[in-house]
Amino acid sequence: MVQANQQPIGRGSEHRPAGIVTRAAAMGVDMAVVIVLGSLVYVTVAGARLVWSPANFSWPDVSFFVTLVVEFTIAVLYLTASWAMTGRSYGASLLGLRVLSNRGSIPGWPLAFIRAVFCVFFPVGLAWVILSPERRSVQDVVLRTVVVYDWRGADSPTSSKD
Amino acid sequence: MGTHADAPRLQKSPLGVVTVSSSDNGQVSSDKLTVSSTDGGTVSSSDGGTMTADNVTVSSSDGATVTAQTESDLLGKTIHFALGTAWWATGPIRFGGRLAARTAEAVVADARKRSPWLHRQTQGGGTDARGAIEQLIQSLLRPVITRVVDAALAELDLTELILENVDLDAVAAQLDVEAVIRRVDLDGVVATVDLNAAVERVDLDRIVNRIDIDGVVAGVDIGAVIDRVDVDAIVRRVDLDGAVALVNLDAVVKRLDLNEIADGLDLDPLVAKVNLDAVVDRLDIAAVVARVDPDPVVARVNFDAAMAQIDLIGIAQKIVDGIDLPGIIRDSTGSLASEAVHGVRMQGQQADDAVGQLVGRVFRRRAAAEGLHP
Repeated sequence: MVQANQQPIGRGSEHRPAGIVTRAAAMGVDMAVVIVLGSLVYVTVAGARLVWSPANFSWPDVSFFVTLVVEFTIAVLYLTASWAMTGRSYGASLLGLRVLSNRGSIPGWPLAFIRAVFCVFFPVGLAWVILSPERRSVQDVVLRTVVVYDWRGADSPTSSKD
Repeated sequence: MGTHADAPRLQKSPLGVVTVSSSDNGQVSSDKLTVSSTDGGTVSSSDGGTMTADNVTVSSSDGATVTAQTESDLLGKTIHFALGTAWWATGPIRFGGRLAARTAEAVVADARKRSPWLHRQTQGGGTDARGAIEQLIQSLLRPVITRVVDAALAELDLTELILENVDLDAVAAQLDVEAVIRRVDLDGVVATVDLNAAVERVDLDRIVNRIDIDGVVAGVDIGAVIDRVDVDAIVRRVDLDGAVALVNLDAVVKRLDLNEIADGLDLDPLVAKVNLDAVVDRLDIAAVVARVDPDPVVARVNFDAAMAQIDLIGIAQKIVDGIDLPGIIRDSTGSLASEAVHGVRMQGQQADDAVGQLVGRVFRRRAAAEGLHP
């Protein structure tokens, strides 16, 4: 996988940098996915408590801070895994976007993790896409990544012909 | 006239003279002869050996009887015979005379044509004188000739004369029958025959009734007749098309018991020789099916029994496995989702480009420099 991720995809005309609208939509989809995943975690914890002590079962009372930490953690893990494996999260896949490194290949795990943390804790950096001539966010500028249009399937980004 | 070995033999000559002789050239005993007069006259012997009488009947011991006639009749017959013989003997002379007279007439006529003088000298009285002479001769000779011929014909039994004196076998042997037949105009003879009238006079029914057809047929060697018949030649000469056209095939088919015929047929060898593949290739299956009325057939089918024998579950399972129904559903669902996703992506790109252009106009940025458009 690592070797595949290092293969360049290229930046032909069909891989133009994505604009603010599609990237924001993808981010919104990813946020929904993270919320769903957090809900699943909550339901899983509640189920575990029910199984562990059915007589004393009650829905977990989770504070806002804990919830925020859990959601952020889920978001970081979800985006890291998505970008490192396929270069695209579910939202990016739905909108036909793919994150590429400066070499035109799928980002590695470290780069994917750093970019995920950066995006989760500084989502406003996405707004720089509007002003950037190359449609790059702050994260892209700092980490030298780019988000391009890629309507092919999930397995296709590993191809080096494009 | 029967004869015994020792009985005298009687023979009568054409002139009526009865001659009695022995069969062995010996003397004839008087006790073996009976001489009587048929008209009551006296029978006497003139010289002890020959008896003369009028109308005498001489009977032999074996029953043979000969009747003699009177001497006067014998004399008349003798005269007639002599005259006939003379007339017959002078035939060539008379023929020669006529021939000479005709020749002389022809010569004189030709000479008259060639010589005017002779024509003038002989014109007139010559012809009359010759005609008078001829008429005189004919008037004198004709009664005599006529009487002589009549007397000869009346007295002579020409048939008996010919039978006794002419060897008909020898004459027949000398006769060239083939030449005679060749000279006969059979066509002319047949042409003169009214065959229709002859046929009408024939009673064919009576003739046929008198024929023993059973006996005739029983005597016929049918096998030999059939062996001699060239059936192939007969069949080639027969106009089978015309014959078949005259046959009422519908009536024939109605009279046939096809079930009995079918029961007697051994169809297996016939079917084994049939090239069924070629037959099927030549069949217009679509046309045959189009002519079939399926309603009566379907009405007779017991679908309940047929369905009970069918493993519908197994068949359905095989069909589902064969057509990959989950794959079809997945592909169709994916296709719908793909179309929706494609629409979202297109609209997203268009929105991106719209925002980019707006920002470009705000910052007076050239789109080409940004590389946003292909």
